Amino acid sequence: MMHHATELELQAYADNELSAAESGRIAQILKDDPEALVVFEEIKFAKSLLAVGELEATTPASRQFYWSKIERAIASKNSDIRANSLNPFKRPWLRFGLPAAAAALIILLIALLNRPSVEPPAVAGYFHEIDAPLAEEDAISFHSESAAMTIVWVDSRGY
Amino acid sequence: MTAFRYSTVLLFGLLLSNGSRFVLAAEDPAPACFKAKLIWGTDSENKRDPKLKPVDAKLVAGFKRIFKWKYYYRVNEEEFCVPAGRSRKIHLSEKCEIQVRDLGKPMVEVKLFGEGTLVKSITHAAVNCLVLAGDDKNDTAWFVVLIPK
Repeated sequence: MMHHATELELQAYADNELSAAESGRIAQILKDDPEALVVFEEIKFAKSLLAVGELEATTPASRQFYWSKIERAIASKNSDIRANSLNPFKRPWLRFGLPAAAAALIILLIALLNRPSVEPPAVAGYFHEIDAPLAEEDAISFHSESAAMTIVWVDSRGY
Repeated sequence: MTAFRYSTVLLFGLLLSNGSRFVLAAEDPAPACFKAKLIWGTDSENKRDPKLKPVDAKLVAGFKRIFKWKYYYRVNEEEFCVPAGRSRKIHLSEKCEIQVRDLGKPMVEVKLFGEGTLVKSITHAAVNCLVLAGDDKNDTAWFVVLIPK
């Protein structure tokens, strides 16, 4: 069985890549070793096939169109990055901060709208009117702030 | 856009819940609730009649700032509620009744009846205690106290 390194040397010999000394050594091997000769012939045959039979790879579009497509892809990616940097919802702190601020504002508005009034003006006016004793035909009305009560004294014996 | 969508949903949700609260409040107004007490004021300390109960100290302190009597006893006490726009008659003793009509918060109309006869009718803002009172025999007095709850 032939050594792999020798196979590589045979391939290099077929491609004329070896020095003169190396080429002389490989030529001697080919004379002495029939197996090496067979491998060398196979290499030469494959090389001759490649020289005439290898297909050339071509792009489906023209060179200008191919590169312009790449250029457009790069430009599009750059514009996406720029747009993302301008969009507030793409920033993590704004994405959560804005809805939170909006919710807080709404809750504040609702709290302000639903704030109970301390005392209706009509009630205050009513008490003001009866601060002084109000004599009626059959009763006296007055309000005591200290006792927090309104008194109606009725002129009637018994009940 | 997702965050904007969430904000919009949150806004509508809050408005909807708040709006429904207003609708429910408009449909079902809370009744006006009171505690009515019939109190007897005297200068003689009661040691025999078990029906006469002591009056709470806060009310006695308020009475003593205004009236001359030394002792105050509770004859009866009733708790009741008046539905919005309706009236209710409360029996406090054999001779004494009151009728309370809700006129829209905080105003109420209170009618005092003595032995079935209308004695006094007043309109009152029911945010503080209302006392209807009068002289009784033997230099004593009666008090009908209406306390909003």
